[in-house]
Amino acid sequence: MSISDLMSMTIAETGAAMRAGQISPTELTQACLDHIGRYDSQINSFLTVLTKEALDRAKRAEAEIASGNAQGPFHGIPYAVKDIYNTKGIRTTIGSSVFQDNVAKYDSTAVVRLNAAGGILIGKNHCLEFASGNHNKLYGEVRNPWNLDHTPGGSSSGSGASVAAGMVFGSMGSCTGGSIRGPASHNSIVGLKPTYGLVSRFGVFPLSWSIDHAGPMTRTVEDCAIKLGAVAGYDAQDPSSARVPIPDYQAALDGNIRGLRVGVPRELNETASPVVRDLIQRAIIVLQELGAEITEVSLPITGEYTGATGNIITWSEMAQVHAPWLEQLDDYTPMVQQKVRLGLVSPATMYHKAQQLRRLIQAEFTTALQSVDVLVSPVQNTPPGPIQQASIKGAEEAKPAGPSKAARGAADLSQTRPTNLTGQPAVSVPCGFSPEGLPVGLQISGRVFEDALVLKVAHAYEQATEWHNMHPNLVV
Amino acid sequence: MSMSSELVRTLLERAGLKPTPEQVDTTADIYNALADRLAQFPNAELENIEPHSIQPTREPEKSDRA
Repeated sequence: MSISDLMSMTIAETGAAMRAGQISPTELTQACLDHIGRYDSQINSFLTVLTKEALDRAKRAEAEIASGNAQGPFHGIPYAVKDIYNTKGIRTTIGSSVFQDNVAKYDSTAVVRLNAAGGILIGKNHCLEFASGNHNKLYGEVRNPWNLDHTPGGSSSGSGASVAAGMVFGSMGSCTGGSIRGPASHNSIVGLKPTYGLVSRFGVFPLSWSIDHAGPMTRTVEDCAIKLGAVAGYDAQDPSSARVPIPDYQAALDGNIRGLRVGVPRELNETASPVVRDLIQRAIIVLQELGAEITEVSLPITGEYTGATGNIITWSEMAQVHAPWLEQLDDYTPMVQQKVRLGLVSPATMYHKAQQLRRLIQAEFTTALQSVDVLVSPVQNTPPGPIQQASIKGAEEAKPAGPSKAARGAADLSQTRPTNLTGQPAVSVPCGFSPEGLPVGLQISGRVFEDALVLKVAHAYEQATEWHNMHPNLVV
Repeated sequence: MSMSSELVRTLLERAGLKPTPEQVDTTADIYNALADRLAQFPNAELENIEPHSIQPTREPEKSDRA
């Protein structure tokens, strides 16, 4: 099985082939392990590879399927998780030197559910320290499989890169400000930040309790729907978990978006670079050709206050998350240290004012989504930048300099942040490449618990374009 | 509500840290940028807005999936 075979295989097709006896879980798992061994020294997307455990599990899955006990579309499928998901008896570093020898005592709920669906956990993905900052001093940089000199985005860096590189069929990422959609966009894969409360965060190391989300990253929208179906649902161990019916997400992907009302928020589209803006405009035309009605909408409070609101809430909660390890703060990377210090000095009145503004941002989205069904925008302002530049940027942002760039930028809007504050579902789906061949993603967001509709629109767009059939050209 | 570097230093030291002068200045700088932005939204318009952190209680029940 070649690397290009693996990159073009989907969970949906491969699961069906396994149930038909055309391919075995052991063969598939061994192929993924071989490709990790061959290519990951270039990409650095895994912190831990579970060779023996994965092959043992694959043999069991093979026996289960052969005996007629196939559990569903995820049975026998190799997957990974960002290394902030607890995995019982397996190292969970959270991307930090402080936790480099941490071995979790229990599995996160997402891992429990993916394993119960027959998935084969093949490894733990590299991520930015504590799912924050933009550097990992202990484990180095992850490289973008589309261009090894460029960043794969963060903080679910290894998840995005390994899925795009065909090393695994899907990974679980986490998202507090865009850490699922950003790497999905930068690696030309699909990443869903589900509705807050839909996917349990139990056993996932927190960055900011009230804003953190856990969600799937895959090569296609259908695969994303399959993984979401496996992990979604109420979990009493997560206090934010919602008791809602779980639909058949895969069945919702019927390709028909005729008459669907698509809103284009002015504030989320006006800051993109020309190359990104052009690709988003082309994507909007595709949606229009599929029968969607396009309308411009405005979210003025969102545009003005999301950056400051999100950062105050995140850093205040983060400071308390990290209270047990403050004595080791000097061992953190500079940017993460800085965020914790900001959270430590922010007064409660600021936190509560930010939470009031968050309510207004949520109301603004709710109002907009009464006149349209979904919203579309870029995921990122630019295609992925060079790794060296990203590292320098990280150093500058942690460095003082009068009224600094970091201070000015801290209040700026990012396109992914608003739905982290509102809790609405939002997906990144590939929508093209820059002239340099670097990926760009389209963001589609919707009403809370209408994740199926968001995926349906993403799927209709995906199937009308060829981006999902393009894969990086890896060479040893 | 802006914050002086001296106040930032005091707060960080009370949290048990020993910040460098650069760390203190950067923290004050970024905090003040955020505070200035939030201050642009008048408190009077937030009179009847309860913070988003106020949520309905969810019954603790045994998971039906895990």
